[in-house]
Amino acid sequence: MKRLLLFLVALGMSLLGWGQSRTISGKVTSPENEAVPGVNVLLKGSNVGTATKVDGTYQITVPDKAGTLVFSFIGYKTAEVEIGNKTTLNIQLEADLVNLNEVVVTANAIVREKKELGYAVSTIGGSELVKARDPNLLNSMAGRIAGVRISQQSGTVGGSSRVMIRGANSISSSSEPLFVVDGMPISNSSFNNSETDIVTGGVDVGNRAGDLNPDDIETMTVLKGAAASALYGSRARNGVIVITTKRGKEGAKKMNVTVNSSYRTDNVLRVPELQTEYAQGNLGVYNPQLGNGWGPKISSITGPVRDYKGETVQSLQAYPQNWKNFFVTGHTMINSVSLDGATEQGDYRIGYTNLRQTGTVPGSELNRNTFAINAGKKITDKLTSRAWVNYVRTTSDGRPQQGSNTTNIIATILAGLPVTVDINELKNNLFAPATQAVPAGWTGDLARSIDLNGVQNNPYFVTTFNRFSNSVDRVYGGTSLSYDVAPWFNVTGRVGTDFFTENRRSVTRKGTRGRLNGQFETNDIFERELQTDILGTVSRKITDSWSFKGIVGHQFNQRTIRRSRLLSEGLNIDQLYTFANAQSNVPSNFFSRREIFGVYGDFSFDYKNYLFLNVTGRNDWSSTLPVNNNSYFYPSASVSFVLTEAFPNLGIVKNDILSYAKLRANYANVGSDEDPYQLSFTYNPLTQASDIYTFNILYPIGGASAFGATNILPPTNLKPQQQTSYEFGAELKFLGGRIGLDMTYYKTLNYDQIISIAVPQTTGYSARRLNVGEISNRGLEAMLTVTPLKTRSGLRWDAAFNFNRNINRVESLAPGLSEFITTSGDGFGIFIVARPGETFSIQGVGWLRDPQGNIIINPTTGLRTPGPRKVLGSIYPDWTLGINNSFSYKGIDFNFLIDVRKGGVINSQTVSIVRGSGLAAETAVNNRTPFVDPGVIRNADGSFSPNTTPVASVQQYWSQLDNSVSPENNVFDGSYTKLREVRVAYNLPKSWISKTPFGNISLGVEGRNLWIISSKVPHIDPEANVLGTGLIGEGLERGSIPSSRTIGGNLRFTF
Amino acid sequence: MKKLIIVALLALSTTACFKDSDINVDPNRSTSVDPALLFSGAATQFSLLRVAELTWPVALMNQMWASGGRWGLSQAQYDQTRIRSAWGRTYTDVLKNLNVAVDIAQSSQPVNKNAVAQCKILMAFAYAQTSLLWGDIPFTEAATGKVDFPKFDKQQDVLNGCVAMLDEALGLIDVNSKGIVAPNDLYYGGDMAKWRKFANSLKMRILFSMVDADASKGAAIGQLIAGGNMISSSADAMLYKYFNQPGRQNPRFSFTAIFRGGVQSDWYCSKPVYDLLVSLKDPRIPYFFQPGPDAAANEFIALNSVETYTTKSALVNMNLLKADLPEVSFSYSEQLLFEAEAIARGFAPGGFDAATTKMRAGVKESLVSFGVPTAQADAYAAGLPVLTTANYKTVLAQQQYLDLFMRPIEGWVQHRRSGAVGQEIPTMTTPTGAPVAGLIRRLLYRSEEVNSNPNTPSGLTLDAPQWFDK
Repeated sequence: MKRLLLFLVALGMSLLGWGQSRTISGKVTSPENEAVPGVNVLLKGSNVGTATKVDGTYQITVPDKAGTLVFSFIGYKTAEVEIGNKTTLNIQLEADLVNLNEVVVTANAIVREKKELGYAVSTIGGSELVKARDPNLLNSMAGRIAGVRISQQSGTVGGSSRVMIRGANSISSSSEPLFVVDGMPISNSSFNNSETDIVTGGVDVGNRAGDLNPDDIETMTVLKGAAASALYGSRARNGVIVITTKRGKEGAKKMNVTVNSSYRTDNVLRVPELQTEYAQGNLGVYNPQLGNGWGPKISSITGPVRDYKGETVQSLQAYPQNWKNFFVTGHTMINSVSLDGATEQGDYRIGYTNLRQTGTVPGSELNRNTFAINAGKKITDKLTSRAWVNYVRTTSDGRPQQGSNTTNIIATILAGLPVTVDINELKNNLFAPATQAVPAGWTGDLARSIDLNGVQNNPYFVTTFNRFSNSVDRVYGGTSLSYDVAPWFNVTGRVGTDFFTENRRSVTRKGTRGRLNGQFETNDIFERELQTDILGTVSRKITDSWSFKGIVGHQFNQRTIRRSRLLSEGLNIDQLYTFANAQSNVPSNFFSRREIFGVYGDFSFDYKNYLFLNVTGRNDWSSTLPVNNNSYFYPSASVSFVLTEAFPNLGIVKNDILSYAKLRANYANVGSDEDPYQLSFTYNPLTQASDIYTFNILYPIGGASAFGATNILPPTNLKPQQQTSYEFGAELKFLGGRIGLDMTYYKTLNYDQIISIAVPQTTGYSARRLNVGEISNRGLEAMLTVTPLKTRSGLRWDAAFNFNRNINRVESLAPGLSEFITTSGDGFGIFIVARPGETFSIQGVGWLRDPQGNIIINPTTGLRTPGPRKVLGSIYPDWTLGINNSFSYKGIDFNFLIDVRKGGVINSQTVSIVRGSGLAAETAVNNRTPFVDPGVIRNADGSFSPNTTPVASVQQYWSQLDNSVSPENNVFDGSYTKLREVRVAYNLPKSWISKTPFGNISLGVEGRNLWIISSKVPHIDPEANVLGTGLIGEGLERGSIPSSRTIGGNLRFTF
Repeated sequence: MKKLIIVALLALSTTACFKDSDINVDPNRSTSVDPALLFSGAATQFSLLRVAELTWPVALMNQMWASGGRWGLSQAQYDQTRIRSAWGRTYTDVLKNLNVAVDIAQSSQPVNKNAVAQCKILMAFAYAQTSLLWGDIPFTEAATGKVDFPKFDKQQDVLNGCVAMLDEALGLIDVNSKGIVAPNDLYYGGDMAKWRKFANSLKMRILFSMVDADASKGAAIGQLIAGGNMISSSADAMLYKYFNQPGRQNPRFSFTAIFRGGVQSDWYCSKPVYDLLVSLKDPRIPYFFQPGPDAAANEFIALNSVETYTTKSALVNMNLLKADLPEVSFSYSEQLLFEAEAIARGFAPGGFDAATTKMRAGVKESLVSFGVPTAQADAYAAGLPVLTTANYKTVLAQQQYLDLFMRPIEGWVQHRRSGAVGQEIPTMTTPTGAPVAGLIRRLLYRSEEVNSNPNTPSGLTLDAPQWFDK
């Protein structure tokens, strides 16, 4: 490190004192002759530049012999003006509908003109994000960006959202993109990574990208391919979401104040449709102790009978709205205020946002306070500095558990609630257990359980007492120093960090059914990422036609994770959650650190501003790979060609039929490292012995601690993982921008993946770690924008169609391996499986079928027979389509977004439960008359004939369709059409507020996740997924909290 | 210039990168370990599988217990979906760790022979158990990590190999020196004399499982009994102890506590067992079972393998599912009944009188272990018929089967070896709706193994008898 500094200092010294300079000034105006602030003024072929002030004036210092100034601003055509001998240059810009010169923030906070780029990028401006504010920023992206799929995982407050760009890139690990804020990578972890955490009663704790505050974001750019991001290092192979935070802007006043307030309400979008006719019981016989709907018709019950509380009643009544009544209306308040300002010497912005949210699950809440400071200072003409810090504190309480195997799963409790139970009675009965005498022979405690068997918890008991809470304190930010060694040479150094501590506690009160002695789990997580960059940038004009820009840099990245966990079981005193109050405390801890050194170069050539060539290369040294093989190099190349500028005289171009055409192509290769500590044969201290039932035996037992040798055979001769990709794209605009089409075809191949590949367990190991496996994605992204209507009166209608099709394919696994189970949902009865030649699929036991595919029916029972495990469907959609329509008229914006998904499947445990328990509406049709299940029976001679045996009972029919017998009937086509978002925004005319202290006032009304227009999944929102962001796989719903429909309003003003 | 920078940076980075760094040394795990720590982990895991995952499905499939349709598991379908981890964990967490422990113990100076013996005895136990559940299994090439696709050894080779492994272990035992001791020896606290007894008894049990298919094992059983040094009191029994503390409770208790709020409502009284007890006027009925919540006192209503429970159905007695009951790997009553069988079958001397005495002692011991008062146990044992050529098979097999009521793994072996296919004692019939014509006779190989090991035998049906099952 020291040597590097010395070298750079020497380099800097040698370059000092080059060149002489002069100052140019002027004013930039619009076609309407109004001053245009914020116009980029750049000396062509260099990185010397400035921006116009609020009055449209600028001042720029350029070298003596400088040639041309380039003026660019979104919405105007770029103007290039020869300087010659002038010292004053006043420019009037021409309006441009085609938006040619949009600038984009690419790797390492480097700003590029979009037309230079040989790869697809998409940008969302911060103003889009604050019009309909979602507590999780990622959700605001859904349906808006080609090639990016956002899926909200649950209706939990602060729940996580999964992002996938251009399909899954790994067989064994999650393919989440890298998040970069102001040039520094930040964490998007969720620490819900283990299957046991998720499957057995996990809590959706959200993902850390949810900490990002929409109000502090200037732009969000999605770099979709590896070519876009080779400079970020290996993690960029899944794509990068580049976020630039807001900076102070020069305004009419020294300080601009912006206030933005939103209020939203959440209600559950969809709950299962239940039957209202049948009471609990078995085969039509009433049994108040059972949690189902398989009893007789409620109307047929005439007293005296015992109800579920054991009280003698004369009749029973149906309460069909139990689900709806259990969930409450959630409220969200988001208030933010920011102060900013700028002068030529510097800029600053301070932002504060407070978010308070209550969820649809009673008692669940989330609070978030965000402080953001971003300040830059021009120290000398050549030296500028910047520092930015964000502090986020998020606390939440009462997030519900999902999954299975604990009695705290709200959705599972509700799914087994007999319709004769009044949920309000459960609520009111919660605190008065003593008033209820328990009938002889019955063991229940109604305050805690909803049945007198004392098996199932009262859901209000769970939400009131068995609470999960967490708090996250997070700081991310950095500082940079930038020095213009010469007008064409800049050196920038940057240090950034992102660290947080998260404290979690999950308590289970004594007396909870299933955890009678009570327990609590405490989890402390610390994560830190540190990165330094030193980069030099050279911009030179080579000839009149050619110019060059080169960047070389060095990067150091360190990531540290520390976690400690304590499971405390057996509480002596009720509700006292201290370690000393527990009869057993089992601690465990974990530490991991990894480092990477990287050097990189990025070289761009520009020919006449219409042909651009870019080559990059990077070499990394990773701490996690074998010392002798820890270095890997990866290159990329891209080319961009602006046809319309190369051939401006073509007829169609001249006539503005083809207003803009850019072709692009790129190739990239990305190498990557491996998780830390995977190289040696190790012995693990064990905390527990397990079987599949989760009654883990904890160590020490009988005074004995225990160790186990690793179950993963460590690798020999490990190589870095590789990804190669290429893409071709075209960006076309017609009729002066009224029609636009941006299309990309891409193909990605991941190989030499470092995977723990299953070996026969009889080897004594479950897996061997090695380089193996290929997985590819190819696909098409297309964004069609049309402006069907644009009138002089200011009415404008824009429509955008955003289409994605990705074909994911597992090309090969290890020799001899026919499949790879990426996520074993053994507890679900299903698996997410990779098989060569196919995409990731859900597998599970299917029904036995004859060669023609008819279901074989058991001739005795009339029921289906479970057969072997089979593929039940692909987890990924065939294609998705977002349709966004916006209308604007005199300051009013009306916008709606429709989201379409076609293909892929989802397995729903909730559906399985409500059907299997006889509570779903469809189980009550036709008075439960036994029917003949269409299928065949196997004759003695092996032939098949149509089944004529009716099912033994409707109850047995639906029970047989349970997930644990065969998930086949609970796997549904995941296609849907949703009205994702509707919003109306209104900017008050300036003339109305010119006499007030306000600079700008806008009002908005928004609705999100409003309507499932069509879906083939019964009872639940087809988007639900219990696996969260950490595990591979989608399409598994188990005990998920229903998603929310959100309606809210927004008020934003500046003064 | 550019080149210069690149070269400079490259040179800079390459020289410094992690050459002498310990950054990739795992701070969470160790690269060396005491074999005793591996042993306690292997033993705990092995016991957990026996007492939990391998208890319920096996007990239900074999009609030892009934599910009453209460548990989400198709008893009559021979449903094995809940035996998901036992195969893999036996190899990865039990056998592999014992193998590694043996390697470490053998390479220590001086060689810790007793530790090697203890590990090998437990390995022989685990291999024999796995084979008696699944049939042919990887043995000679298993659990070492050295063979990618372990071959499946024939059951007779596995069982003979287990006997040889026990002989090897017995040869290593030195009762005057220490091996793995308390607390890590969770069975005998390091008492090598007891380990020797267990090894001999286990060897006898394995030989008994083989003798119907390989008559030469009769002589071996005789020799073994002549040599003595076997389990000779209840204090010698091979037990893995659980404690009434959170996380250390017998999982059979935890199951009810976790899923059923402490109310036993999963394991019902199975008809074949109940009918047998009734026919023998056996006092164990109220000790094995408890009446359903709505049944009268002493009203025991059994279920067959397809019946759905009612609130009157009798259940497996909660007293047998207590938190601090040990997992029993080998009991004294089991030993006595084996000895009775050896004498009755002429493998050991003494004739039917001696066999009858042993049987009565074994039955008494069994009754007492289930909580029957001594006097009642004595009276019942004394009332059992004197063994004769005509009756010994039935009388002994009935008692051996009942003795293993809470040990489904051994109970299933006992039932299969109790008579030729179709003539087992007690008599059982294939449940209605079973996927095969016969009783279940083996577990099917797990799909993980089938999919990853091309040597996995295929085409086996659930009712295909294993080699030993004659």
